Amino acid sequence: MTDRHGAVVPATEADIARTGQSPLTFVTTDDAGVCDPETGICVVPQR
Amino acid sequence: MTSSSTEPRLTIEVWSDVVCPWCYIGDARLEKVIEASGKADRTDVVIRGFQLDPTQSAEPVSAIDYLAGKFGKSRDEAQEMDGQVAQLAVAEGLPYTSDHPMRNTLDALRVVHHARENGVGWEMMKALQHEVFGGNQDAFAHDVIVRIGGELGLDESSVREVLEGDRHAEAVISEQQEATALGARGVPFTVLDRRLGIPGAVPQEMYEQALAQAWSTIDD
Repeated sequence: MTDRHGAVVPATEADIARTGQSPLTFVTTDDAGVCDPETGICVVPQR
Repeated sequence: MTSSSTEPRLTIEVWSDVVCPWCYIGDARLEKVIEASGKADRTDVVIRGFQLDPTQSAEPVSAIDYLAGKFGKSRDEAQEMDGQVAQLAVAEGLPYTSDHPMRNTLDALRVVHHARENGVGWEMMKALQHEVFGGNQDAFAHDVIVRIGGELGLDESSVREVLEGDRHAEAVISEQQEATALGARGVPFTVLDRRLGIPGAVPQEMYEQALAQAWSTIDD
């Protein structure tokens, strides 16, 4: 994982739960906007 | 974004849906970053379909009615829910109408797959998103999609043939499953060289950082 400045940070348990056993390294941020197929919600980031 | 150069290339896969506002916004940011990278001619964008709501009917409905019905809100409340996304889209220079059409997107994604096989997949996805979020209530009409295909250089009869059959349906579903296996829990979902994953539409500077990170490995 990387933080919002792009620095590599350890994945948290929540990150792992969200991404499963993915072979990818994730670039994540609280500022990401995503549409969730399970809820149908297109989340607006809380800044 | 191709060149005949033998220099190393970066492959960016983007899972997206035609009715996903964040995909619309994220793709616009990503495109700007690729163009500004100075390496657009060595960057291949592969667009892949991800149906946000496969249970949705094929009959188009207003997005505001869809939101209101799904969350038990009034039309005004649904409009407000969409307001922030609308502002962000406009800030990216994108046309955005909250009361855009919604429907099952499998047919549109099958056409995107067809376009990808003919070298204009991302262009087709972006064009369809512009029609939808620009507020064309007929955005999913076959004639509209065929016309877009023609504008992108596709053989119009081949686009109509895809729309009227079920070609590429299995491929679209299979690619969505592939995204899930890679860790996608929503869209947009962007993957650089099958090493770096970017869930969601992130600020432009994060796309820049991720691309720089991917290129640093490639160019080493």
